[in-house]
Amino acid sequence: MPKAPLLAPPGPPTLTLRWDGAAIPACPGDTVASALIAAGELATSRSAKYRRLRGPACLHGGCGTCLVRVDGRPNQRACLTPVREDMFVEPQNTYGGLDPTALVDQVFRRGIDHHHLVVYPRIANQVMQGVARELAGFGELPDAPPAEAACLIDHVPEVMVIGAGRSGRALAAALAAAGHPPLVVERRPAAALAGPDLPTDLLAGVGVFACYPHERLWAAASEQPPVLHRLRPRHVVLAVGAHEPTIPLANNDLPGVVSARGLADMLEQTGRRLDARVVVIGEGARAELLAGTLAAERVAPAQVRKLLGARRVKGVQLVDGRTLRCDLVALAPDPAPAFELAAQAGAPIQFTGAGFAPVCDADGRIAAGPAAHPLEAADAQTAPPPPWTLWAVGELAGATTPAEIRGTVARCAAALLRALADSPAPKDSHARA
Amino acid sequence: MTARTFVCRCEDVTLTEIERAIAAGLSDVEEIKRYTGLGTGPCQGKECLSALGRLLVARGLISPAALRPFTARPPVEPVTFGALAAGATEVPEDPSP
Repeated sequence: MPKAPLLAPPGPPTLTLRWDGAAIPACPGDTVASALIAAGELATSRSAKYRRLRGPACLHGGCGTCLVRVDGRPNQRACLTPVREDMFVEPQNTYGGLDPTALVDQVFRRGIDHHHLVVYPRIANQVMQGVARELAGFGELPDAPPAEAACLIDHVPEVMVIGAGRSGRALAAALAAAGHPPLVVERRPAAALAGPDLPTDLLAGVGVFACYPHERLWAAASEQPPVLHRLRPRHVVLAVGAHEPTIPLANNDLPGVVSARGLADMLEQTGRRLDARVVVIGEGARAELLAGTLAAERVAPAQVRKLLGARRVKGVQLVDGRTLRCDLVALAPDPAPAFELAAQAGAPIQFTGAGFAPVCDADGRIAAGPAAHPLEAADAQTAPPPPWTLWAVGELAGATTPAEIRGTVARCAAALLRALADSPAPKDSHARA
Repeated sequence: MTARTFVCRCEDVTLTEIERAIAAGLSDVEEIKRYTGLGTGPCQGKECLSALGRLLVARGLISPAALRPFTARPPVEPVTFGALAAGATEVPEDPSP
């Protein structure tokens, strides 16, 4: 049965993707997730344990519940995958609409205590292990091995900026204007990056997945084309933004419960307009701003008793007894800085009240200590200092409003340019790139 | 559908299970991760870590200064074995300048 569309297209849809066999109209600029949500297809998988329906949630490549099989390749993030004509998209970890494993949610109403469930007797344990092995895991192997072996590319940029969001682009523009265009690495593919202000030196669709300070390199990769990038920059600017943590509310996992920030960004990126009733849950100035952007009613988490719906969210029941009917619930939590790469690079990490963040000065400079070798616990004192200077801008540096983000970018750009002037690059620096 | 409040959707860790871990005397992010499996799914804690941290601080179970995240090991972004294998085609060059 066709579902009611939730997002109006910016123009006549000219593309079609195949979702579990059905034709879904899409527009240039759509991701798989935006096309599916627009068509009212909100569920893309079932959860690992209680076998509940799940769908795109953070819309930012972070949460892991929009993983789908695309043209025979498993575990593709629907929210980061641009739509191509006739692409074949399938759900994962589910056995169709009447999935018998969905009974787990009903049978174990009081939860599954995996410390004790069917551990004894041993014969029952063996049966249980057999079942668990079938249920666990994500997706199935690709239809075919990769057509080509991955290649390796080395980069020795003067400045590497990780992230081409608002702060990363602004910082790249400021450095380029001063004659130091940085290499910008962005995990979203080029087709999912709108705007006239894209950096000239941009690796798009490439995710920086690690910092190995002891090996003195950063590592990034793309799946298609398969490429491994090794990066040895002199300055690293982390413009990686923030995660949208969940808000613990009853049934906060229903398909159609999404990040307010992710939804607002998706609308801006695709040019689509909301054709759905949305309730924003969150408090504070940022949640208020997002509710305004989405033209949605906003309630505080403490006002909410539970979210309603079975296969998708249908409403919000409040503690005062009222029910707000809706098609989407947009969560607007305090953002949690994406501290992970900074931590790998040896940055001191502190809890800010909203999440974890690297300690940095007013210019965004991070005083990363020498990194211990992971296999030699005692050498933190003797390890050489990292060969790069580490910086943070935007939400990672504690900014939450656009004005604060611009402030961190301006201060970081000025300080970084001073550092570059004080210590020019060695003449052979780019020769190794 | 059973009403459940999730802290970690990847591993289906509910608030009830966090309460059980707290009742067992646990008050730290790392030990609650080991007890419940929270943070060990595809998102590797991007959605649940700070939600748990806030909950522990709000309950007075740990001070903000003592709260540590769990170790952010690579990969923080998905990477295929095929791409990693490309790094093994040559001996890494000498990193010293």
